[in-house]
Amino acid sequence: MASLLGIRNSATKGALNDGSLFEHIPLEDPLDQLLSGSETRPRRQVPSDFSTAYSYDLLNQYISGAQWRSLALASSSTILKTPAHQLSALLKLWTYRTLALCNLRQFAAASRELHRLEQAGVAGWPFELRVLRAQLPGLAHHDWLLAIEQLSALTRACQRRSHDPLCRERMFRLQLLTIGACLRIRGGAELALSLLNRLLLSSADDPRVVSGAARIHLQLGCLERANELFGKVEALVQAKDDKLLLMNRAFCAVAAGRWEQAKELFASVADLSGEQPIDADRISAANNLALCELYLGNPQSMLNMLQHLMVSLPAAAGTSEELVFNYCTGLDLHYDGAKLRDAKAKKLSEVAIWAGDGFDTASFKL
Amino acid sequence: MSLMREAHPLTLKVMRLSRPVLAETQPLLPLDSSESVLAQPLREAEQSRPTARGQIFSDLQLPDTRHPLDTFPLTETLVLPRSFGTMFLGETFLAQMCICNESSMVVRDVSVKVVVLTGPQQQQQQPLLDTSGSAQQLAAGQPLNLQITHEIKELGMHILGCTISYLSAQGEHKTLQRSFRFQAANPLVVKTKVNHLKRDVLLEVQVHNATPSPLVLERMRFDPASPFSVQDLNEVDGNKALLWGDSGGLMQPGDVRQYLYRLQPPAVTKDTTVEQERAVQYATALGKLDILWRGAFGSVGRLQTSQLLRKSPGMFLIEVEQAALLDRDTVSIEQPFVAQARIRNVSERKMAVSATVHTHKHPLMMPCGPVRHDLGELDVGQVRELELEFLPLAAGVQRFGAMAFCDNISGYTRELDYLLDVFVE
Repeated sequence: MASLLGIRNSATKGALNDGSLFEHIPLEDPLDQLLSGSETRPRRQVPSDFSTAYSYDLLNQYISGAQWRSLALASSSTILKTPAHQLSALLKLWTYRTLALCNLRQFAAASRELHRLEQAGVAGWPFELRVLRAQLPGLAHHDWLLAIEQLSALTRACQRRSHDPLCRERMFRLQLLTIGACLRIRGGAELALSLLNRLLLSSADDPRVVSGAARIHLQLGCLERANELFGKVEALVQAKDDKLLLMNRAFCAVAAGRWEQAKELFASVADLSGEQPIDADRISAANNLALCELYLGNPQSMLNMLQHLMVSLPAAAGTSEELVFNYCTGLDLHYDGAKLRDAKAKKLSEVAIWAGDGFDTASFKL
Repeated sequence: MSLMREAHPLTLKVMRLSRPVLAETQPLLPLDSSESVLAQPLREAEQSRPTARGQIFSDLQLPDTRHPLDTFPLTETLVLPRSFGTMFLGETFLAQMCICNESSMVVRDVSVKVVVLTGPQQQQQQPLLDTSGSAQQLAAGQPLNLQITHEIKELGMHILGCTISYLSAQGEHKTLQRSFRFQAANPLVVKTKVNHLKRDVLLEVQVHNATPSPLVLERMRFDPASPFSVQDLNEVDGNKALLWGDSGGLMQPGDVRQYLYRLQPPAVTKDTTVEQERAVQYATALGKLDILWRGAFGSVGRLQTSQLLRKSPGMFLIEVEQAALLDRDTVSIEQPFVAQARIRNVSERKMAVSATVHTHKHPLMMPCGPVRHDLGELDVGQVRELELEFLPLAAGVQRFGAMAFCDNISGYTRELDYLLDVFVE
């Protein structure tokens, strides 16, 4: 497949539709490379026509189908075909392009492209593109301090217009992203908790936010504070069988090592034996239920449950990197040698049918 | 002669079961609600990856726009540990063992023995599991699952030795041996410093998080040795949490925390015997620290220090047990006041005690009255009260009462640097 590098036009140099802004991206898919030659994936048509512009409808279809490679190529092709004076359209297309690169884990390439884009000195970037730009130092170079600084700058900009509901909503999202960035830094947990506590001041009546805060405390080992917050959630939610409460109680049980209790609670959320087909909301609970089986000494039960889940919902559960990782960890425990390789190869084939581009093949623990 | 590894129909795998954690999200693009052309297709893409989302699900019908959680950093999906990680002293090693019959024949009389070898040259052996009393048979492809736990009580190299004995399909007794090595590191570095405050002991404790991850010190308790009782000075109005602020006691890697405890021996009363007081003054053992901490998702570790020791202050043969102002709480400049001290003979023989005030040691606190005071004969354990009058010449905190006690029978002398500190108004 030809790359887009080398398409240069002196008339567009310095403009947002200049071909020299683009980085070369590898066109090979890591998942494809792992498959043996006899296996095929459903045809994932990658654009080969770089002389045309693509419609937003088609670009959106690529997003829905997780066809990030196609999106990257199609968006760059469309950028090249868009007149330089159509800044708003070009910036939107750059958002598509950057999104695609990030989902392909080409963070360094995305960072370099946006850096060049910044040199063009065009203002009015879409909010999504500014957020992506802010996070790239962390994603590409593990410079999360810079990412936090940039996210904070965006937050302050939203704060200056906090009378606008959209800005308040953006601020909330940015604060969560900042907390996430803090958690990635060694020694950043305390700052994350401090920001979290500040966030809680304005959202103490939302049981989901309080639950989320409690779960972060649990993740860090602050059980006392986590239990305090979980208690507040119990008081906020009337229906005591709400799945939010059940999941919270289950996580508490996991933290306390009470695996039987955790299993029962996750089972009641997953409702695997119920009449309703398992939906996307319950996949996490079903995964967690399976993990309880491992900790109770039944690794084969964990494998069976995860496999059943992934086969029943091949698109939603079968392509979940977390479930695949858990499943492959179980395979590592149960099998050895050729049997292990065969089991993983089988899982690889199953995932490849449904997974989009950019699937993290490290999940297979090969 | 070449050595060939014996082929076995059984395989053995061991996996450490440290706590799972919630998977992190990678929310690349916040779903900007009103101005984005990407919002709708992104929502559809997110729907197809429910376990990677930062949503927190509930049956409640809450409007999402007020507190949109799509960028929440954690999912609701637990993931297993990505690696063995580091083992720390005080933690419990929990592992899942899976023995699988990979052959197409039945294997009989399968018994498992697991030991942990520690210490120098790994000579100390601790049995963890022995199923020889209940040997099993494994059909083709059948696994045998076992869990082992071991509290890590020593630093350094640990070897998990697994021995599986079985009867092969050909009727031969065979043994499969495997060993797994791991190191146990020190999670906390604890340093102490002992300070004496008259009869009390102020114990400073410094705790350093030597792990690469944050942890929470859930319990820092000092268990005093007899005859001491302990006062925990690490609370603010009875609330430990206030001391550490919003962090909830979280210690980052490399963080150091300082704690202070006051150890108090039983108060001296008129019924206190010399032997009892001697037991206090010559006591070297202070007590032990009991520390409990939590790591990721509540993983727990516990350490207890060995007995913390002090250099005992010992006893003077003539003890000044109590010293206080007589009949007043405050002292004013150029107004005489009286201080009283209880003097006890804690030797093993009768004494004839006299006290001589050093007038030159504290020039701003002038002694009034006689410089030498004769306390007379004191039997073993007997107490005499001594009253001394002083005139303060300057305001502020003043130290006074330097004196010498002398046993006129044996010639024993004890020098006292000062009797009291007092604030002069």
